[in-house]
Amino acid sequence: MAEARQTEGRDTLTVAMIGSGGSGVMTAAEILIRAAARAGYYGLMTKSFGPQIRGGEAAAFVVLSTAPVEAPSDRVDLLFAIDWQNAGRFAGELPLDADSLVVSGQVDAELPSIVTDAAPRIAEVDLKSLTRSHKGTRPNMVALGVTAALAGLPRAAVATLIDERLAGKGEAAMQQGTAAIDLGYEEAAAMTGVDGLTAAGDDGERWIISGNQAAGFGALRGGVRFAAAYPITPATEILEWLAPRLQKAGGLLMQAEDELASINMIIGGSFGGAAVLTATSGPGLALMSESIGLAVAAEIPILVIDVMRGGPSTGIPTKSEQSDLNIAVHGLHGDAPHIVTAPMSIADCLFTAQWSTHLAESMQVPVIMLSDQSFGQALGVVEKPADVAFATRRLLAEEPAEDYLRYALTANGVSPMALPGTAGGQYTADGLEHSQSGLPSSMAADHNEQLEKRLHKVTAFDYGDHWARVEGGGDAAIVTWGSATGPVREALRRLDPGGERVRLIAIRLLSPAQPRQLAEALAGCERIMVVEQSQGAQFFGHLKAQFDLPAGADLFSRPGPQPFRPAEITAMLEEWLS
Amino acid sequence: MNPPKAAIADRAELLAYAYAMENEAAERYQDLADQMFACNNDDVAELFARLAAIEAKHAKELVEVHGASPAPMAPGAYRWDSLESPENLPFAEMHYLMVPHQALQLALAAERRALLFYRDIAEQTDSDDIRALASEFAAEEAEHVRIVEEWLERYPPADNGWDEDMDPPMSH
Amino acid sequence: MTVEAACPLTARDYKSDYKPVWCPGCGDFSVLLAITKALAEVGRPPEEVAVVSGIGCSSRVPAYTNCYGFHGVHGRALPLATGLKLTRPDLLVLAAGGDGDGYSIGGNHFMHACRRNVDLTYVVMDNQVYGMTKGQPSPTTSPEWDSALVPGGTGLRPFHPLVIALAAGANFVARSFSGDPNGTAELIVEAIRHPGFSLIEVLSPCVTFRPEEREWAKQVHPAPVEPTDDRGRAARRVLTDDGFNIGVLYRGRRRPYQPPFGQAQVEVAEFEAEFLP
Repeated sequence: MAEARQTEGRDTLTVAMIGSGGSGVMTAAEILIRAAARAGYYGLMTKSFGPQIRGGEAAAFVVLSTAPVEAPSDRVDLLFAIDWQNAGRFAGELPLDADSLVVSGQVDAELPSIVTDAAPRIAEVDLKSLTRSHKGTRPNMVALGVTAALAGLPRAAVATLIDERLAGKGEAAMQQGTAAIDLGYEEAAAMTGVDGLTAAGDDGERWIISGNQAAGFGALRGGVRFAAAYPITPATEILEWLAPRLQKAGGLLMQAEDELASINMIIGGSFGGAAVLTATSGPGLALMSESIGLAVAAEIPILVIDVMRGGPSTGIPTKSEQSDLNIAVHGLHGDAPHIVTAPMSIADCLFTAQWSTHLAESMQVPVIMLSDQSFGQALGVVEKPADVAFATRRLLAEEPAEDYLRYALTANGVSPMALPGTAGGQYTADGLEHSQSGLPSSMAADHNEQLEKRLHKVTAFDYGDHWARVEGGGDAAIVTWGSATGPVREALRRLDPGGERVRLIAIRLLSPAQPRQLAEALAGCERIMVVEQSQGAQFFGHLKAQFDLPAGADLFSRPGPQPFRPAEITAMLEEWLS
Repeated sequence: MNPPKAAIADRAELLAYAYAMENEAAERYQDLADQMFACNNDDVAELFARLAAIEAKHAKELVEVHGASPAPMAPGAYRWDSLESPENLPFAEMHYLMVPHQALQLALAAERRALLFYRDIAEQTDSDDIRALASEFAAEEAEHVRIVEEWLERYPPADNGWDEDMDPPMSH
Repeated sequence: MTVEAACPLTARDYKSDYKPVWCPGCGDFSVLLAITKALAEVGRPPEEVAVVSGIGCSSRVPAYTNCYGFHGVHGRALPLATGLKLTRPDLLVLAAGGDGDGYSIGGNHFMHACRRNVDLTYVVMDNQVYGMTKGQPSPTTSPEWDSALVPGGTGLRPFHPLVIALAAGANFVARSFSGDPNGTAELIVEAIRHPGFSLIEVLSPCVTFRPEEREWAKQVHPAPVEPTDDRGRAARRVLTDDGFNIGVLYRGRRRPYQPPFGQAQVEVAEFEAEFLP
């Protein structure tokens, strides 16, 4: 039986698999990354596809590495094309070059210009003949075998996964599955041109998780038990992950008739005492904004996860962009202090969702968490995330006194909340401005008092070190956020491996801004570069408005839909630093 | 909305009706007083507040003197001739600019309905006990009628254009 | 008849000290009374009742009660009430509002609340006008009604909430008149006790912008037929009646939607296993 060819080895390998018409590339790539994870590698899998619901052309990109993977790769080392139908769609996403190996699953196929222009090494596998002569084998599984073999993954790691996946389909299916893998390993034995991975280190437990799953799990850990939402790409996987698990955990997910309903359902659930969330994307967030303001005014804790996609309007649902920052921070009418957070990696989606729940519950305030498509729909093999225990507790009025006031002024601005069912705590939550009792009031004194209270509770809160990730030293700093962080970190690893020349400040708490903390983090910095993915430099504008940025801060900003790649950031930084 | 009179079975039931009527009237007058205070019609508001006090006293006496139970029957258990208990001024009759004379005319009508309510019971019942009690209550209502009539003397009727408001309604 | 055993709660116990801002003469005063009377008869203590509303004159009801209340944004009372009831099935949840709030801006939620059939009672005070914004036509306004915003009238067929409710799956449908607070209270009691989503459409005159609605008092009459459990029959009746039939029009037999909540079968930490490669 063929094994992976032993080669000199490489630390990182990027594989792309493309195909169309139900070719099964996504499944093959997912097995590939899972097998790699079992073998101890880190990884990142992203997807791209045509507009069809079924049968469209699809591409899966898998980065495998002996070290944590921060960003999509600059180039593709190995491309396996099950077919070449509409492969031109992926121009810009398939950075091939002369060192790449392209394996065509079709013999004598006419290669698209995205391949021929790069002049890579070419190999062929006659998937049609192979699968025809080996009854029950499938082209994508043979392709998986070839790819896994070239990547240097042990055959057993792949075969075991095939067995697990096909166990429900019976012995014959399992045998056919492994046979296909074997065919692939045999085909690969004859191929040259790409080095496999060096052996992975043994440095702890790995998780394989998507950003959307991580966000859902973080919220569950934070105590969320009720969710209401309307399906929207690329947030739906959060909901689909949560729905059955909330049930098991004693909670509930309600599919609402629209986003206006979702947000109000969770406000109702939270009013009753449940920790709650909804997940959406830009269009849904826009619809929800009026009611998020209600939750600000009525001091109802809620978590709204916005998995950002290209905008405006329907935009590009399946691609990422950091362009909802403005609406998240400024989209509520009136003076409406609330929290905006953003994870900075797939794994951090877990932490940030949990932390966001903690913040919402602790301050009785809406939290908007800005994830994005490049986290949400990507699958990462990461170090097992730490289980951070927040002492999350909503301040309740369990035995309200005779003179109980729902919106009483307190030192930290947070007032004990009476939950329905609590005798003597009855009040009416209201979007109308109100006095401390909750009764409507248009008096200046009440308005000022309550505005101040609601602002104070979010500005006086101790966010600790979680407001940002601060790394490195030196007199230059990069300030960034969200999914721009990974490519920036990768670029800095290349340019400044010791972390002595450039600091990285990735902001997790976008609002309320923490100017004092940022000033401390930037102390001694002479040059600042802001990196973000939006056309309008929304983050840069936010920083300039909220922080005392040194004059001459530089900006590197562009819209999606293509993710930042480390080489792009590296090139920019090289020039900036020189 | 069946006529209740013949159906009054015993003293306890008559007291239940009587208490409900007086208590609702007291609450209604108080609600109306609050409404009028809310739109700064203090003259009418104060009249309604005084009437509320009179009816509340009456209700209290029913409990303390006659042993009526202050426990209400279910809303559907009462069978009034009208949509509401006869002594209630209908909410629908209110106007924020109404003058005391108009308010008292409504009150007079209500007190007369109450009087008739008890008088009919007294006339129609076969029970001496119920007749005696109903007659006593009728006499009290007659006294209320007299008081209201007396008050009415003190106030002029509404002028033409009493409901004119040169300002438009407010929007919120 | 016999006088019932002492009941500790009266309508007054469900009323707050906060005074309504409605115009004297408004039907909503009576509806508020009917709601408090009904709650007293149902007998749940005020703290176990939540009254949820949107925006509009009638949506001011929650703070006028002594229950837990939520005066939310325009049109969204039903989803908010749904979220509350699903997570707190122990509470009695009542939604209240007007025709603009419920049938126009909240129209989609109205249909889906009927369809979802969560155990809620929805009291709509229909005065066929937007009162709080000074008299614009609502979905139930007749086509010829003239107003500053729509001079000459809308020319549009009025929305028929009861037929929509029946078609969408409401489990209890009744029509009431504000001038009959006792009758309205009885209907609310029955609606609360009936499982699932109950709609009570209360004809509640706006004396400021629709003074002619004072005439409703003369037009309403008890529904001449018994309630039915046949949606089709109920819909046919309300489509063809004069709009002033008062009473229970439909009693359905659908099971309310109430998935279990709060009964955990697993610890959250158990989900970690699925992230192992």
